Amino acid sequence: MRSNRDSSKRGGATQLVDLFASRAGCTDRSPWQIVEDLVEQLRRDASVASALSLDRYLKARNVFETRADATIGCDGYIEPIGASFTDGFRLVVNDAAPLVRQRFTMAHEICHTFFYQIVPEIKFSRHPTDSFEEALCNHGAAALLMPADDVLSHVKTRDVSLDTLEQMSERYAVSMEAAFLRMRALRIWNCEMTVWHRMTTGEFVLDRIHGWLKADWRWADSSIPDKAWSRPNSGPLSGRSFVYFERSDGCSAAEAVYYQTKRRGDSLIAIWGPKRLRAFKKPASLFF
Amino acid sequence: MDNLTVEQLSFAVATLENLVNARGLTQTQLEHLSGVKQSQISKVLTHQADPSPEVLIKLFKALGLKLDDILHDAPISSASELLGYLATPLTAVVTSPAQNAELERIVGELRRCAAADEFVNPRFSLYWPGDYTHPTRHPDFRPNQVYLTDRSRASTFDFIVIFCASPSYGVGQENEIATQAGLPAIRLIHPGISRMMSGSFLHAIDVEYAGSLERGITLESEHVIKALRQIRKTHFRHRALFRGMNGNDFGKRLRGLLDDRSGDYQGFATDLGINLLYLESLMNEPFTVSNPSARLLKRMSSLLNVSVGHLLGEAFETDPVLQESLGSWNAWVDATPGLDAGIANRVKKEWQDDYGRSRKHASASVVSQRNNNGTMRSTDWDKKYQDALKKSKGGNGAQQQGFF
Repeated sequence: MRSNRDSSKRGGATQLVDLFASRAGCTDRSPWQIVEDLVEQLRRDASVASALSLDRYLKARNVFETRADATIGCDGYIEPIGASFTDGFRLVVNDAAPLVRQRFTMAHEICHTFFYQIVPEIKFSRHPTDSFEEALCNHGAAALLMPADDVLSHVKTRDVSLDTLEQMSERYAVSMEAAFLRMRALRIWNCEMTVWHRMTTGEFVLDRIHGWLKADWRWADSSIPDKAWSRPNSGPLSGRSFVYFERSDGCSAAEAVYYQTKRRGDSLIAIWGPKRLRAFKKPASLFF
Repeated sequence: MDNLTVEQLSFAVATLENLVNARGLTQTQLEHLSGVKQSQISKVLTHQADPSPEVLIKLFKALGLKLDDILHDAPISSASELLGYLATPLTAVVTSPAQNAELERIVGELRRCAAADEFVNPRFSLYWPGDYTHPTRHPDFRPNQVYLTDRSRASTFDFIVIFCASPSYGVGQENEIATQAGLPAIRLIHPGISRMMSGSFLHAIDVEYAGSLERGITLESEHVIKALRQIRKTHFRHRALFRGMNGNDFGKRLRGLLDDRSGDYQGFATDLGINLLYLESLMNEPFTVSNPSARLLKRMSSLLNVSVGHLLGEAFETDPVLQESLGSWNAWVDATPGLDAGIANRVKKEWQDDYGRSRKHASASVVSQRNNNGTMRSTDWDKKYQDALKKSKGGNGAQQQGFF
């Protein structure tokens, strides 16, 4: 049921990503690793110690023009100004989105410039959206905003907990979900994260889940989300319980989990796993 | 015909002004084409007097258009007549008085057939360019004015009658325009018709005649009347099938995109492979007149980095994400008692607008877009609703409206 991103292969790579990977990296590096390498190189080239400001990255990647526009109908986009990488880019970000999302979008768009530079014959021609490229840009954005070494040194003395996740979120000015996904990608944490929405009717509905089977999971004990919701300024609620789902085709599952849950704004966030949420142990390698 | 509403009248007059200006027609020329006095036209165009629906019908008819079409197929009138365009050889015939006389006899014969007692409600009306833009009787019209006016008629009238005389010069253009427009057509042919005409893609009812303009033509009236009966059937079928397909926003959308990109109309026309006059027609004329080919639309789509669907403004409503999202909105409303209907509707409208904008780049383009516009689920609608509700409570606290 649980899955981790296979970082060692190019399974499912599109023509764009194949070309990108073959031109940019060694044959034994996966596209994920290649993007991470490129981001690391960018960090060195731009001489940026902290990723809180993206200006130097933008400049280093020929993004000559940035604009905010709340009416674009998407998070943001990058468009070439001319017909080559050296002509530069225009980046437009939706400033109606929360600041952390705007930052992530900008970092994501910066990563697209790698593709424009390395596979210009596709990227400077009309091409459909490549979902693999999008995923790689998300991965690159996370790497840009949350450098692996810094993350490791920061969490090594901290528990697997919502508090740690909140600290990460504040430290790197990213959402808690982005911080969690970075920890998963670095194989530092292997628990799951869920985000719940309290409907106008009062019912809690699973909104997003990271690291586990996407299904309409529910709390077996419905008082847990209610309790967590009713104490917004307290610490997380912890314990052990069951979660389950039932589909209309008759398929169902239940699992015992150790959980931590807490209200954050208009959402309820939970991390859980089949074993106790324990302190961090540094893995032998970031990429197994 | 019923009186027009103020909105319909304003829209129609504004459209008339645009078309007259875009085509460079003088008021005198419009008087000649429409039969409406120049002084009255002047009052209409300078907003000194509101035209009656009948005057508007005449003025638009003079421009090769129908008032009904201009008003987005609004059922402001039932069709009072079925307008047919009669394409005949003209320029090559007028130099021979005998051929010209025979041609006019045939035109008269066709009009008699169209005026048969059985054809009432609506009756037929046949427009023959020879009456209005005759090469010798009306030489003051510039070639592009003649072309655009007759192109409008050939593509927007209810049907077309093509008289393929020998030589068939002068009807090839109309044949192609009618083919592109999908007009019901009658073609008068003789056994020696050129292969270029007989092999064309026009879906026409062929009526054979004998003889030639030089020697005299024999045409069976009953065959023409039978073809006209078929035309009526086809016309009413098309009317039911294609109601509301005027695409009047196409030109506006195209102009907006061009202005947004570079505003270089000449460069765009050159890249597209058309002349500037046609580009201006694409932006100024109703879609039924400019009627760009699929190939041109694909080229425009490529040059402007938008989908053909966006250019046509038609694909949005059938978009599966849109349909599924609206479906989930309905389900969410049904499952959530006590919603503020005003806010719930506004949330839906705002999302639709955002989604429409994001779809501009949805097809292949050089832009890389981070998109948060997947299918909306009940949870997503509820989140947007709660956000909007909070903002609304921070505002003027307007009275809540419920769903009934």
